[in-house]
Amino acid sequence: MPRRRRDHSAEYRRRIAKGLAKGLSRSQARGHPKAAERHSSPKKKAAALEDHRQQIALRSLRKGMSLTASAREAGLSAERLRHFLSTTGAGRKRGRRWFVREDLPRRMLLYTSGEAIAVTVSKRGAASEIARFMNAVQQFLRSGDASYLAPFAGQSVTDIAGKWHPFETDPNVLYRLADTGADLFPLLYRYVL
Amino acid sequence: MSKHENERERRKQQRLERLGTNDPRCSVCGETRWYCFDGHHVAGRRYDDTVTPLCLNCHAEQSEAQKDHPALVFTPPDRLERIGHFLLGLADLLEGVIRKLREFGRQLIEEARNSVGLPVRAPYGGEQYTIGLNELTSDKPLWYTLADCIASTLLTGKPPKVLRAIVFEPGEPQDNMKSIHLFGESTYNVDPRTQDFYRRLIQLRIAVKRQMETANKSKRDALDAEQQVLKILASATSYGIFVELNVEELRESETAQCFGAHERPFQVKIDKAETPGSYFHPLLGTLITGAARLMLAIAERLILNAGLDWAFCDTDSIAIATPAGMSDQEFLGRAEKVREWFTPLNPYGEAKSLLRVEDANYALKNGKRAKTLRPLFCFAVSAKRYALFNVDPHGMPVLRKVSAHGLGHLIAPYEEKDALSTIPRPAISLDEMGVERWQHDFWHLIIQSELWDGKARPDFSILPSFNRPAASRYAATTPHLLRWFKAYNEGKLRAKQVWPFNFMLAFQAKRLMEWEPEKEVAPRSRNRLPDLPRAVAPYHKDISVAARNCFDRETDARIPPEQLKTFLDALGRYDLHPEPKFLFGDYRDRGATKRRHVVVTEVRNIGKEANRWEEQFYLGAEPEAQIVYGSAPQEERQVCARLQEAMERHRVTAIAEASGLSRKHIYAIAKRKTRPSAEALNKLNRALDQLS
Repeated sequence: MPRRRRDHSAEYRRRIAKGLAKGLSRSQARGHPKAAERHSSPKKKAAALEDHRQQIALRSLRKGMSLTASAREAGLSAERLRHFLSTTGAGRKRGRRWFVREDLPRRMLLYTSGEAIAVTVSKRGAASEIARFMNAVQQFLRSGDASYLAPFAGQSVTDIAGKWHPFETDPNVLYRLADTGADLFPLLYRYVL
Repeated sequence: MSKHENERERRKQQRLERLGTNDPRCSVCGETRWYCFDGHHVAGRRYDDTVTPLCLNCHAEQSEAQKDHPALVFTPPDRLERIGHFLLGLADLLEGVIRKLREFGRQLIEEARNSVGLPVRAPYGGEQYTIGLNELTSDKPLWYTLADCIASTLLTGKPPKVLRAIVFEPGEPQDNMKSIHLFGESTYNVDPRTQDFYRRLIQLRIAVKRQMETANKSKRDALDAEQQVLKILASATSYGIFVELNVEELRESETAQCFGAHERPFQVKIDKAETPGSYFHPLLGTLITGAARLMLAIAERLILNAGLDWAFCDTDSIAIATPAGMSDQEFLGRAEKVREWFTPLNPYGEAKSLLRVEDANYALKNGKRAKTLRPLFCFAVSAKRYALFNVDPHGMPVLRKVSAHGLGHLIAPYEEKDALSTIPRPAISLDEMGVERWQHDFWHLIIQSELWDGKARPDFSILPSFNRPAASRYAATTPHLLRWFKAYNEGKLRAKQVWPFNFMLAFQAKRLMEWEPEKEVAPRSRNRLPDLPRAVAPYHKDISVAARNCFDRETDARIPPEQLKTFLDALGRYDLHPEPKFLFGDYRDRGATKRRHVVVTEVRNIGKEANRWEEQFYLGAEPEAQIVYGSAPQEERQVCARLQEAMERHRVTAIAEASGLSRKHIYAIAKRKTRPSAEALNKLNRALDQLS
């Protein structure tokens, strides 16, 4: 028996009409609620955004890409990314563009006091200081030239909890840490939400 | 973290920030507890702002001493007055330091008086246990062979204090021994009733090697195989069979008796049973290794007495080195005398020294060994990781012998035909050198970089395929290994599954911060990084294809190829490998290493140290393979008693701080509500030493 052909546009029209009758907005009835709106069906609540998609999207936005381009980069729809940014407060819209919040906490790998730890920082200055230090460590590990570390001797950063972390600049300790598998990181940080 | 702990952490961080260091140490007495510190104005508050962290006691002492300094002359004090007060303050500080130095000096002399040179197995600066012959001080009685005691006397001039000695004497020969023809040939006859079995084996090997000198090529190959068999037979039966222990994983834990270093055995829970082999005889095993160490100690003593030096030694060999300024002729004469000393000890009926000059010492002529000696250089990274080489007239290295330690488990990244033309071909055959072509080239780059200036790192990236994942091959020889592929095999055709004795590949994973979901990053309070995945894949001759099928053997999670270490990642710091069992053996250290001074704080009983050795060699270290029986109850009782005593004098917080254990754990140990792990005992011992 041949299958009945579905009339998708009619089904869509019916769905919108039912939603409007229930008092939902048109976007809610369509199944794509606006940022401030709730999903019409709690049972069909959208799955949480996967961590790696969040990271890619936030990094792309941070680089100055548009919301649409960032969403494409992360394999998301622009609506979903916009919803994520507004509900979590990770991003803000200024004029016609979306931006990542400057003080969004970042989790970064840091060599401090003889160990490799993941620290969470919120100040942009602290994050870039850690990035500069870890970059110097990478350069030292590749070249063996300890002069890369000299500017960081005696320097430190403070994390989100107010804990103080001095930079580890002892070449032997850095080699030891690198040998434990803590040296190979293609990306220096991940956002914490 | 509880509210109380949070508050404490805040106080600690504030104090540390004020002190300007994360690791405060009193410059006079060495105190390290962060809450015991104050900033001390060296010259006095009104003369200068220079502050140094001092513990509260030393601060009070220094402030008291400052009261005797001359009174203020000008208000505000002038420059010379400030400098004068600063110098007086500095002198007070130095007086404190000098007093501590005197105490420390006396303590060191006392330690030296009680120390001896004995081998100790310990996790020197790491998790892996290794044996090292070091200066040893111990207030706990330890068992050693007589040979070790003599070796200690030879090396340090100090015999160990003997508390109790046991002598073993051989009994009558067994009466059921029979004469045998090895390999079924009458020429290889051994009669254990009238002959020393091992001596006979070595004599037979010497005879075969003599025949090889005049034999034609095909005959020589056959004889070579025979002498190798004799060598393996002698090695296995003269030591290996006496220490054979077969480890079996138990389905359920059992209670067993552990016979350790103490007089009485104690009960332990085991999940692995160690069954002795048919010829297991720990007494012989111990005495044989002790005697081998004595031979090396004799060689070392003779070398030092002859005014020479040595580069490295291993079991039955030692590399004698020329001291600076000595001529080659003088060196060879003295080294030959050392060698000759061992001639009368030869038990094999030959008038030859037991120490043979290695082939690498002879010059090469058209790729063959000449009869003249040529200066040989050594570049040693760590134990078993070294290269011996000559230097050609252009200043380029000519490798003679290199070790494959740390390289041998990896599948070759390229074959000999793909080798770079810019790296010279090996001067001797690779078979003779005992390495593969890529390993030769790898060492060549290291030595070349050292010969040029030693500052720039060798550029391994020029070697072919060094940017591909580094893999090692191993067979799924046990159910334990095969279980890793259970999830992989599910739903696959039988032909595509991994079966017993199929090959598998092991890779090394690196850390990718990007893909670690938040929940996998360990608790925020600890900020610890999660363990690295342990990557395995079914065998495929193309490593890139195998890398795409890689998964974590513990979680079955897929591992992307970009997370696998390449040869560059895995071997990039090969030439900097540290040797923690010696002093000055760290990554950046250069020059001669020295023996450490080891103080025994605890005796831990372990089982077969080489358990699953081969598997670990190819698949990476597995701490759970190490059989640990822990400390004897006597040791635990001693630590508990020390802890209870310390708790009367110090706050538990201080002990927790110094040991890194929680207060709750410390209370539980002190009240004997829990049995501390070996690691916890060690931490406590160290902390109690520090606090006392």
